[in-house]
Amino acid sequence: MTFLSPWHIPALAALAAAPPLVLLYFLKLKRQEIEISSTLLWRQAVEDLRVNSPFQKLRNNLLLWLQLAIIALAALALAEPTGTRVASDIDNSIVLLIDSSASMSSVEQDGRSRLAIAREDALQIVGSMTANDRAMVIALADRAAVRATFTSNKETLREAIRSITPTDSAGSLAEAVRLAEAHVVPLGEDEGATADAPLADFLLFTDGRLADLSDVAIRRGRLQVIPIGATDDNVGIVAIDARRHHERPEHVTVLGRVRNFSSKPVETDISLWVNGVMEGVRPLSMPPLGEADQLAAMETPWMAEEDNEAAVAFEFVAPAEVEVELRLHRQDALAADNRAFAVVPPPRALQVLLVTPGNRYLRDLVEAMPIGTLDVWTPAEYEQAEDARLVEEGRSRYDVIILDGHSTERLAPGNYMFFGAVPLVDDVSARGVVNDGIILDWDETHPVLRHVALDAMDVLAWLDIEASPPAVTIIEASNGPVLTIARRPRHQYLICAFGFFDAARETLNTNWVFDESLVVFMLNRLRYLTGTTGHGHQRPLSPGDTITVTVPPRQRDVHVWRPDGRRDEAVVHSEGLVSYAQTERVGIYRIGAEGLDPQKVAVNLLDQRESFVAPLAQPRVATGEVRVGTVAEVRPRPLWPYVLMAMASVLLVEWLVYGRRVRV
Amino acid sequence: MAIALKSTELLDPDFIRRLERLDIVSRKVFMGRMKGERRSKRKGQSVEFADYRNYVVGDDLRFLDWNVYGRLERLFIKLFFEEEDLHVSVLVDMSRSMDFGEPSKSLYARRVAAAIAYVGLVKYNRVTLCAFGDRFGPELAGVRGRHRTARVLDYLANLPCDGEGSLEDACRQFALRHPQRGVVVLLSDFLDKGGFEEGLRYLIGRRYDLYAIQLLSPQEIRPEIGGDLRLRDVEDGDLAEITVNRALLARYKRNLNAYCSRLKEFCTRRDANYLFAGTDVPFDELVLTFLRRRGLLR
Repeated sequence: MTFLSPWHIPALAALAAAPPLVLLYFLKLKRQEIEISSTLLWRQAVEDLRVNSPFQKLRNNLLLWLQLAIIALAALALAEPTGTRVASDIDNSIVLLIDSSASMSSVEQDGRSRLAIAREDALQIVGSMTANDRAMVIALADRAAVRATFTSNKETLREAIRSITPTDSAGSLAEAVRLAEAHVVPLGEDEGATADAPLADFLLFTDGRLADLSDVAIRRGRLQVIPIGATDDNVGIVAIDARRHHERPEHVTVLGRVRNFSSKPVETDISLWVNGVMEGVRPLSMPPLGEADQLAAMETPWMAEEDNEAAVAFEFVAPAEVEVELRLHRQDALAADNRAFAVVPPPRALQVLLVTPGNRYLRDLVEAMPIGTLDVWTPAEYEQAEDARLVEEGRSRYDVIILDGHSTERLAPGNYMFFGAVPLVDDVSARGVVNDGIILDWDETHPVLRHVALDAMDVLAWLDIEASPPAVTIIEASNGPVLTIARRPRHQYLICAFGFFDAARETLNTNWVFDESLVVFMLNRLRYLTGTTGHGHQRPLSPGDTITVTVPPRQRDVHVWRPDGRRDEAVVHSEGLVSYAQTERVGIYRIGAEGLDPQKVAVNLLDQRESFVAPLAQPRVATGEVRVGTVAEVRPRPLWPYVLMAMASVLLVEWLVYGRRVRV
Repeated sequence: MAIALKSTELLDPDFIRRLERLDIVSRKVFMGRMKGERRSKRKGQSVEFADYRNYVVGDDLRFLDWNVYGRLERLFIKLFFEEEDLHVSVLVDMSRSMDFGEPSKSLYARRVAAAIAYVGLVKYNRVTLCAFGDRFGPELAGVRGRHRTARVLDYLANLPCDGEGSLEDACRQFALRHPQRGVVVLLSDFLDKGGFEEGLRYLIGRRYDLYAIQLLSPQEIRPEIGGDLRLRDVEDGDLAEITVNRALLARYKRNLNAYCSRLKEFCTRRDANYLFAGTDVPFDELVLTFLRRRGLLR
């Protein structure tokens, strides 16, 4: 038991002195006996003194003992006793990091969500704070938000904790730690100079399912994790894909992937809902992901064999735009991954413009893609074409313009693909030609390179491209990027530094043209640039991602209808660009204005780490294992209310005893 | 219990010689049994003229005043004071509490009693000595004459000092046994838990010429004790636990003064004499100075 009051030492010292003091009264005084002629006058004198003296000898009296007990309990309560407290040399600064990611929405067996439990635990911590403590509150999901800066005001902290609402986003700790450390380090102090001394207790309320937990380095605080949650019972949709048929665009295929993240085998149903009407149901049966203790030790669900998955496919006919939803018919811990959404636009053939001096390989390749119309121009035709042939309603008439070996600055808002050329914009330039370079690395996880094998690819020469951020390099060679994605407002450039032919050598520049992976690569590029995976298909967003759509220029009063029924105002930027970032819940977001058909965007969790709700038993960060403890272990539980209750009880007894004595 | 003394320890010869000159004086004139050296209220045959009265038949013609008859031709009888002996009683408290103090109160009391008795014997008064302790007695009653001095001193020297001593009982017994009036000297510390009032009322009721002499030792007047003590009453064994401090001592002295004042007031109001004596006051000074000043001796 510890005491929160700074005055507890003198209070308890006084308390400790009381028993010996009372014991003194029990000691019998050893008196010297002497004979006198008569005790008559002495007795009278003693009696007189007793009558006139303000003090008298302590007499054994139950009321006295009860009152002594009340005083002792009051002194104890004033010292604010608490339960056991983990010894800490950081007394005063506490950072409450509360995970509000999707997995924290899991409902435990007692019916409370993990976030609710975390909030209650955090409120307990706030309740146990002394006058010398200060705390700040940070809510973390895909982004971190400071809900309360350092303060000793408990009510402010409580309000901040209560204001944290659940999200369906993935969890990330790094930003929250950076924020916390920025608040902890005093202004003007060199962060690196005294980096050894922890300045605050970072109390992280989480189930441990944070994407970057093991990468986080904590330098100016001592991280303690308060593990939240116990259940691992969850089955989630981990992928959804809705696409129109290549040849029969009115046919829509919906593919879904479901995974069992629990320690028990699961049998359930999955249904397809189209525009709110159920179109079909499939039964699912999946083995467990692993034993419960195995799950608690797993940092990621990918460590297990993926035979605990089930794939489903639905087909239906929809000649117009449809909203598609896959729904799992099972009550489990996490509801956010039991539904997955997709918006299938109406059948629309991609319009592609290929600008090439006569690259037959490329033309054949593009023609093989699932596109509607393909126009093939020479670079001269492109430069001389009237604006009306290229621009419609302020943006490119073509969904994708492929420029083969032709660098240009005629770039209307739209999607561009360059081969052996660069857009003539400020932040991208070609410094020369690289011969016999070596391709070093490529990002296999990027959608453009999905299912593309580059191991056998050889390229003779490519442009030495310099692209400043925010350009993203996807294939990197010894001297710079080979494949780059550059974005400007309303423009998207996918730049491949080499072409298929080497004009100077009059030969093929790469052996890639003979590789089937080039076909896949081209399909990926088209999908990526057009935001589709085929005819009438959108690229899905995750919670927390920013929705970006375009509306006609000068359009005002654009609203966002959220899946939870709320309506938000959206800000229209220049050139009719609308972005909306508050996509913390899964579902379909509708963006539009009066007299304008809303544009629909589906936001899905589709995050196996968040669906894997089994709490992580021993979290680790980059700086080592972290301390894990319950609230009672990390922070003391205040005991003074119980002492006060005991005092009230003794007071009641004392009153009863007194009442019986004075009754005649 | 007091150790038996030699009679000479009570009165030394030199002091006896100084007592020779003294006599006991009574403020009241009492009727004696025998002719003595004291003028009685009875008119009788002494040489001291008292008064005249008319002759009545049967009067002794020897007491007719013929000179008055010669001038007035009327018969008057001359009346003379008759000289009688005086009853002098000394009550000595010999309870256990009197055997306390340095010098001892019992020794002091016996010496005072011896001195008063000697004066009474020498002057042919009828001297009665009574001691009381646990019970009334022993008593040496009605002794007269100088030749009884040794007996008196021997009696006093061998008085035991014992028992609780009830003043009331002793005074009642004395009053019952000695109806004749006279001088009564009561020597006691008067520290009786039963109170002194009832006892004194018995003596005052008999119209004795009462002298109450309160004897206290210096240890009782100015106690020099300290610390946490258990006081044992030598008479009844009563225990009193005290913690002596300045306040308690002051309170004790105040109570003692009040007690003595109450005794004095009680006596004075009833025409009795009260005399306080500490045993540190030299015995001869008490007898030769204070008792004379009080009028018991002259």
